[in-house]
Amino acid sequence: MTAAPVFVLCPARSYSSVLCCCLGGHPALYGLPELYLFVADTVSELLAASARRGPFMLHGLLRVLAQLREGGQGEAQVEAARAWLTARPALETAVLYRQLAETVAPRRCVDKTPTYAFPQNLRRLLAAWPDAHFLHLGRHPRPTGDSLRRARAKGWRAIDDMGEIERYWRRTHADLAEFGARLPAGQYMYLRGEAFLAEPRLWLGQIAEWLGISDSPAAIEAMCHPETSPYARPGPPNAPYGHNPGFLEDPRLRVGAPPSASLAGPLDWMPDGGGFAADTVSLAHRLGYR
Amino acid sequence: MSSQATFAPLPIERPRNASLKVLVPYRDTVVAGVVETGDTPESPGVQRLLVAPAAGGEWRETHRVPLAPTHVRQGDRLLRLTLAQGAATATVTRVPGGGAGSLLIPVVSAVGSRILRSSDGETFDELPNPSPAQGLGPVGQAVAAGGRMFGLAASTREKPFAAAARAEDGMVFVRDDPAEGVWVSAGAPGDGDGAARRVHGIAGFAGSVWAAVTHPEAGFELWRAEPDGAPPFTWRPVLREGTWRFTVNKVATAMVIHADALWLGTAAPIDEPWEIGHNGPEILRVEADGAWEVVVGAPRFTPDGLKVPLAEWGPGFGDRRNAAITLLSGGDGGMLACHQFLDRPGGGPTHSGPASFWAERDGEWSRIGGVDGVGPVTAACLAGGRLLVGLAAGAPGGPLAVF
Repeated sequence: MTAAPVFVLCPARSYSSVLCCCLGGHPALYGLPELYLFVADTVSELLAASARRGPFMLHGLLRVLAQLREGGQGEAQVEAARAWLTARPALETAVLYRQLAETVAPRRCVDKTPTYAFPQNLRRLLAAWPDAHFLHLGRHPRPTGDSLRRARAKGWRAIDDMGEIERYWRRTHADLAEFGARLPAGQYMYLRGEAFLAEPRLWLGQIAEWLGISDSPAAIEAMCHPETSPYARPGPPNAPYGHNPGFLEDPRLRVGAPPSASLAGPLDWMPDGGGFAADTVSLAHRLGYR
Repeated sequence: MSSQATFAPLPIERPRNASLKVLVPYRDTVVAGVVETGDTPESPGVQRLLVAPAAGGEWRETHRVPLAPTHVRQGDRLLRLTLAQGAATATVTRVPGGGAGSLLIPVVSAVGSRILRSSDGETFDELPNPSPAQGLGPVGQAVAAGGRMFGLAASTREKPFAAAARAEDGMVFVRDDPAEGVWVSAGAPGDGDGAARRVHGIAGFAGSVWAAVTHPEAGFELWRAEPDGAPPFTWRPVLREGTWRFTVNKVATAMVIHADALWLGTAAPIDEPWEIGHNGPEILRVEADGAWEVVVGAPRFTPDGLKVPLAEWGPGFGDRRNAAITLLSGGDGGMLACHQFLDRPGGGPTHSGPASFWAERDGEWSRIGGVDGVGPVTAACLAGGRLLVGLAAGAPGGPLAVF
């Protein structure tokens, strides 16, 4: 029987690329790029969503199909993967996901697609994999917002309303916390991304213990090299992404606490210089941020 | 529960006006502290102490402390005042000069506060209970540690979820002589980061004084100090950030010493918009060396390693809607926990909804009873194979329920 995946859930720009590739370094796990499979019920719906939102949505999936079905991630192999995918519009995404999981078995998939954090997608995840493990990853809302703003400046995944940055962080984490609270104890865990980066070995060992896989020094050492992931570098021109572009440029694990941030004070990205809303501050406190 | 004892009704004059705020097993007895209030300005209140054999039987009054009337006349109208009077805590502790395991019950009274001390549960010495600092009321919790007596202002204890309104809310007080002397600051647990910490509870354990601290932005903290030399003492952190549950564990609402460990019960905030606040409270156990475990609660990653609940119960004993562990009680009868749901009887949320009682034996926890529609549970203990529950004034059937 194929083991259920581990889903890393968080808003975009929350260190999930590096964590996912670290986890994927464990000999019992297989780190995937962003697949977006559970944002739709069928391949045709997924293709339609990609047509609306941008081709980046398919990059991770095409790279994985190329890697696992075609034996590599060259341009031709990605095109072959695209042809295979588009020839199966009625294929259910949950079935496709299970096929991928069976291909990498006995290793367990680790997936970090940010949009999985939306409630309708969480329902799809849970329906497909009721025994999955869910790791809720946090990042302080101020650097998260700064990172999203920079992404906007680059014209990548644009955010038009700057107030949406804070609302996105708040809504996503609130949904995830609520989702986790409804799961049986032990199926969901929370981790601050900043703590992970400050002392990755401490937390990787605990994650391994939680998942019931080896926490031997060799396994932990393997997890400290995200750059060894087959998806940790830019893909070919027809599927360059699948992870955070900044991570793909330099996918090493840089150990050290990120610069500290505060919930107090004006937000650089807000035109009126306003600060965080009280609801955001309250939720941030619950997630370990001040 | 086997071989159940029979406890007679409390011999009180005005059951509807009586609150049972102290229930403590002590030696071979159970000591109860009942506050009775009057209905007119001419009828003062009284704090009564009663004792019954732990094996069951009649309650006898052993001591009373006068309280101020709770009503005044304003023209033809009778106004009821909100006076926080009476006893809210009882601690069995080794007091300097008090022999082994004395019972300390601070009583707050507008007509003369005092600390009651007993070594047999029958006779009580009355010790002075002056305000430990200007602007504070008298002491509401007293414990002994390292040959000294420590006190916490009643006013500080009463608002566990609130940030400190003044520096004294974050202080513990100490005096050398349990019977007299002035309180001086034993220091303020914290690391000088400017956070508005409020000390909600103290305990004398393993030669140290321990303070459960509400940190409104980070989650509760546990600090300890060894009372060596002259106060103020140096406080060291033991637990921080709500044991990595952050403000979901905002307050340690209950604290008791039992079976060579310090046990804590937690509560999430009740005044914030996120429904995720209803994540259920926890029970934690802290050893003398500061090592800690989750007994009932959420598995999680922590700087001290992966924690999983020893009792194999999730937060709130598996019901995340439970709001708080409002009581923990130790003793020969075993460990007892009470958790209570929120209710909004007058608008604002309070811990006055349905309550459940859980008992621990050899690491196994089981539900042994519950109450509903009786308002807040104010005290509870196990004695004679029975569960004794103290209730606030107005509870149908009076302030003592026996199961």
